[in-house]
Amino acid sequence: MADPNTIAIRVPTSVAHDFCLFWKDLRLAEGLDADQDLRVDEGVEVEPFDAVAMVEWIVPIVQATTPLITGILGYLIAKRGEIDITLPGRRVVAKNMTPSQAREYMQMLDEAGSDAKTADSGNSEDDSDDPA
Amino acid sequence: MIPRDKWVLLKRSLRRRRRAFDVSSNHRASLRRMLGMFGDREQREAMGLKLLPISSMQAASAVVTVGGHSMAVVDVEQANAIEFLLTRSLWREMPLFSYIEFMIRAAESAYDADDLEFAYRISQVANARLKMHVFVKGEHPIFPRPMIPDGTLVEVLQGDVVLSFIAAHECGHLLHRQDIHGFSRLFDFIEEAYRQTSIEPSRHAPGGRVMRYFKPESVMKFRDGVYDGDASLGIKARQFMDAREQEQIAEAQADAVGALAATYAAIDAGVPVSYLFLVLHTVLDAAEYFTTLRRTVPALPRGTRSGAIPFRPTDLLVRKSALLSLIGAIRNGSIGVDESIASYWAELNDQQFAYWQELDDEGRLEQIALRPTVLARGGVHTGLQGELPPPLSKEEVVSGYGPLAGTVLFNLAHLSAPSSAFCIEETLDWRPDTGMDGVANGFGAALRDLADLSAKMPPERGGFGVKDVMRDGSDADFVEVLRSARSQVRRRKVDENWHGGFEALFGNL
Repeated sequence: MADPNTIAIRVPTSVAHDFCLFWKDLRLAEGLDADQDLRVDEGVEVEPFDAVAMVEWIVPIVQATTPLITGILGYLIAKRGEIDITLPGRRVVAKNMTPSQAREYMQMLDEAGSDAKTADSGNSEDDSDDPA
Repeated sequence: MIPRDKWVLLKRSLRRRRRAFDVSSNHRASLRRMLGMFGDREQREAMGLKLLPISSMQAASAVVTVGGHSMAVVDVEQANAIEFLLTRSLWREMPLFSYIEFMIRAAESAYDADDLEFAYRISQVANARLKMHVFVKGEHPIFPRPMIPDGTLVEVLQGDVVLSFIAAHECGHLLHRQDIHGFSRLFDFIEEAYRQTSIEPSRHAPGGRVMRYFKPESVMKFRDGVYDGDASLGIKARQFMDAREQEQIAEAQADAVGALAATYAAIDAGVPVSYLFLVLHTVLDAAEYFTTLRRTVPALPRGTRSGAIPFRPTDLLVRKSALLSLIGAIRNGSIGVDESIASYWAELNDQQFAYWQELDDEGRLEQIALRPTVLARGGVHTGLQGELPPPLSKEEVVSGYGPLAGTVLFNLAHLSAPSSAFCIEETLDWRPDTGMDGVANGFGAALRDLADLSAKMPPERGGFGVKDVMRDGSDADFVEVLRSARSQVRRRKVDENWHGGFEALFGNL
């Protein structure tokens, strides 16, 4: 199952580098430390058999990151990015976001950010599925 | 090996997929056999060829890359989904049974996106259609499920031919990324075949030339349930053309690897070459139906009959064409393959092969390749508008639109389909010899019901969440309910309690 209180942010591969720069600008504007940056080489690129290749980062929804996530929504909408939010008991996946929906998502993120405890991103991984 | 910190990131990403079933030991054995085609374990390590089998509701395989390390993630659910359609198609089943497959897949996708009410409503409609069939054609609770079974398909399924194709296709993408030499001649051949066949004379604008593999993206517009024309992105697509070309060639190259793997699996399973030839085409079609379903359903207007639904052009024609080129080259020795593969394909009947070449030459292969998109458009149009307006004649279009006639003819093609193509209730008397292809018909009809349902849903999302479902039953029970129509089809018996207690939560539409 997906880690709780996290958001998966996806952008088309062609803008992955640009996206990281944009995120960094927001991070600087918010006065946060460099450890909140998203690195290109930590994005997981998923190239599905029938869709556009996207790069994905999984970000915990905590008070520090919520403003950055809301800040980047406009960019995601313009570049046909996607978000996939996992909250306790709820999951929201948005693939075809329009500007008129932006407020709805911002509200949801605001609530989630203030509710969420500072989440440890919970890497309780198991190694039973090693690659062949 | 992938470094541990990167592996952790990959696993987190994969964990977001909802588990469907298990990867069986048979699946794993088939995949190991397939991997043998690339060399032994050491050689594969050196190539950077890594494969992870999973079973998720997304039913979609992918190549995942992090920090320069790539891996093929093979979703066995994708093979299962395609195999269901393969059976419906090759055993000539009624459109209703393909329809149910498509509805279940749509319900699972909705569930995967936590869109629970929509998922439930889709199951409700699917079950209602099944009940209709019982009352009209069956004797409650038993219903007929006519089919023309053959043992060869069983061999194909047991031999995991489809899984081998899909998994090797993804490995083909890995090889492409990593520029591995063993397949470079094969890849070069496919690229050359693509370039030689990509331009042809225009059929509508005399003296003009057409790029066969490029169709404009068309956005279908609706205003209050009435079709309001298409916005076709033609010239604007020019900037993306080179990238698209690369994508199409890569798809065809991956298919070539898939076809080789499927051939080995077929030889092992004792499947005759003429049957494999048919299976490969049907697999490509089935993948196309699912792709179109996956792309179209999330874009349907929700709670309204106004909106814009994009239809992106797909690569089915490129892939079918490339498959023919590949097999032709294997047969005439212009591409080097193992002796077992060469002699296997040499046995394919000349006439059967020539027939497909003709389809390609006459432009009929193109029509076949565009059919899933045309049916999706027709289904959406019928679902939102209620019924289709009469078609325009070819002369009207050509004289009215000049050089754009080709695009407009395509955009209006669904108007010429029989109404039963989009109305499952009109297909209960379908016969394989007189009706349209059962899977195609089931697909068009499913899109209609999905578009109609989406329009009737309440506009705000986030009504029902997993927590509501968990209160009334378990997550797994809910998923069983979504799949209930399929179990009833297997048993040829309706189950009045298909809703598993969840009707209290959702009520009736």
